[in-house]
Amino acid sequence: MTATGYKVFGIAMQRRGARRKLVVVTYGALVAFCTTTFVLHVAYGLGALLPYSWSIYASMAVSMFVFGGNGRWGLVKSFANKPPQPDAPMVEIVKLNLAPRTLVSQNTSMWKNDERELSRRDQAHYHAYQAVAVAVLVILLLAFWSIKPPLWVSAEILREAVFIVALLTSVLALTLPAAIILWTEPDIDTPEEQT
Amino acid sequence: MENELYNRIAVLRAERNLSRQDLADAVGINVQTVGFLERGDYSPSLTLALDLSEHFGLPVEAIFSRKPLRPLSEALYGDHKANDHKARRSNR
Repeated sequence: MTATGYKVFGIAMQRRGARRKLVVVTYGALVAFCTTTFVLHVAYGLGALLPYSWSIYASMAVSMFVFGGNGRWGLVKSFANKPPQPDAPMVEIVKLNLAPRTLVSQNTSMWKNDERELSRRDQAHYHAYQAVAVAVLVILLLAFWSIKPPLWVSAEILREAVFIVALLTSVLALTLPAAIILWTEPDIDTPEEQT
Repeated sequence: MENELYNRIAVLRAERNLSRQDLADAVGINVQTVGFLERGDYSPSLTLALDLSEHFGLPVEAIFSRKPLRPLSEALYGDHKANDHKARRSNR
């Protein structure tokens, strides 16, 4: 599963229970963050784009540095099934903005997903896709209602609801596949158990 | 039909004094996957099953089975006992 050891903020994540706690805490923090930005948007009229972009940045940070799946950091190995681009060596030509690419090939074995990991990755994306597809249909329904609002709700509330659901859908689309892997992957053997 | 697949990977690995990491490196999988295979939590692809069979130098059916596998010692010597018993009975 993991590319960079099994630790997040120094806490071991070999046990599924620990990973599930991490997923719950992280999503709790993301929802709190999205709610705060949304409240700021409503209370102070910061503009719809601001809370949206903050929430997307927060989700990207979670996906990149905590859950993983998108590069060299995070718990889940890169979904791309290949090593991330190695750092360019700091040589004189960097100063000339020639952007050199390193010629040293990286050890791909630790970044390569084997057949079990690839099947888990594909399953996780399939389940995440279903959740996101339902959310997209909800957005469509709300958007349609906001054009022709029913009697029991105002168009203004529906427009805000479209925005909120779109925000949460974006957060899920960015983070859910890795979260599903973290949630479902069984306990990982420690080196003593591996012999 | 149940999708259960039994295997003797743990026994074969112990017999050959291989660590999980050794076996994982030999067949090109992650060390965690060896653990999943041994515990029966994961059924390998045909390619991986054939790789394991080649690595251990045994036919696939000696490593994997849809039915619970008998202990190797019993598989090797259990039949001898039964055959001896049969032979003794026929001699009488």
